[in-house]
Amino acid sequence: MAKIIGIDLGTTNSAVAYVSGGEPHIIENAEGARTTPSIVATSKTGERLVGQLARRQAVTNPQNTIYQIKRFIGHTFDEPGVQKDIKSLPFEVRKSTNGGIEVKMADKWYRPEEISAMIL
Amino acid sequence: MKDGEQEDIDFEPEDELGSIGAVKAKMQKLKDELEKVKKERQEYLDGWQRAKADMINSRQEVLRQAQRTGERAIESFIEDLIPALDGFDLAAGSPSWETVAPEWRSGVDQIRNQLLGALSRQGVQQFGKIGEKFDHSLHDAVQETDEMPGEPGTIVRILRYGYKMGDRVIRPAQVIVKK
Repeated sequence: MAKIIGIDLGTTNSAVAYVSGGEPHIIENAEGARTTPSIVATSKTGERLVGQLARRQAVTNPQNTIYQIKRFIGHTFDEPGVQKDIKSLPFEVRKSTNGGIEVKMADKWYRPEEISAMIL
Repeated sequence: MKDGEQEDIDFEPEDELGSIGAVKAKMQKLKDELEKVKKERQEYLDGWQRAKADMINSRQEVLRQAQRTGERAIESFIEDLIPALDGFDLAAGSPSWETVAPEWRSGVDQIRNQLLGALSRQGVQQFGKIGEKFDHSLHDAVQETDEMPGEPGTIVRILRYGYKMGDRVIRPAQVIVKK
């Protein structure tokens, strides 16, 4: 029987849930928390971190810690709102070949959708 | 028979042809029904096997959830207790702590140690040490600094100790890290 999962992919935090017996149940993450910060990072040792682990090391590794990526989904690089956001972000952002947005994490460039996929 | 004369010998008179045809048709119908029934049987078998697997998985999930619920209850209680322990640490780290009468300081230390002992008996350990290498699975870096002595990437100050139960971190240690 196919299982259905409901996803709340938020700008700051994300959560997933399933329905069982008519009631929604949130699925805990590996750390036992019911919500996961929408943050992805590549640590100084090259390890990919997601959620709380990424947030804990954000201060020591700001250029490779990506957060609030959902603000870029569906937007183009040249939009005034995007340009305003870029000024306050510690990680690099560039225009992609189709006019969209790419962010840099550990010498690789990613689209916002790819970062969101890592969170999920 | 005479030469030149041929008779058509009919080995299959019409009524026999009809009955063989009917048998053949019936055979085909039975074959078709057999195929259909085989297919249905396979579907039912698949469905039964899936339902059985679902039941086994559900049972295991219920056991896991029950265990997790028990652990979460203990963790929740310990999380509520941790701010009180933080209070002890803040008091002991304050400059005015030295001005408090020694017998009071000793008494407060004993109360703190009693609480830590009670947690330890539940498998909860306090952790966090200056000079340790920063580990994102245990520590929460609130600041990075160049202004305190230490090796790069190590803890130079602990703002709050961490607590863990076995391998599970209940509260990471809040630390300042050397750049």
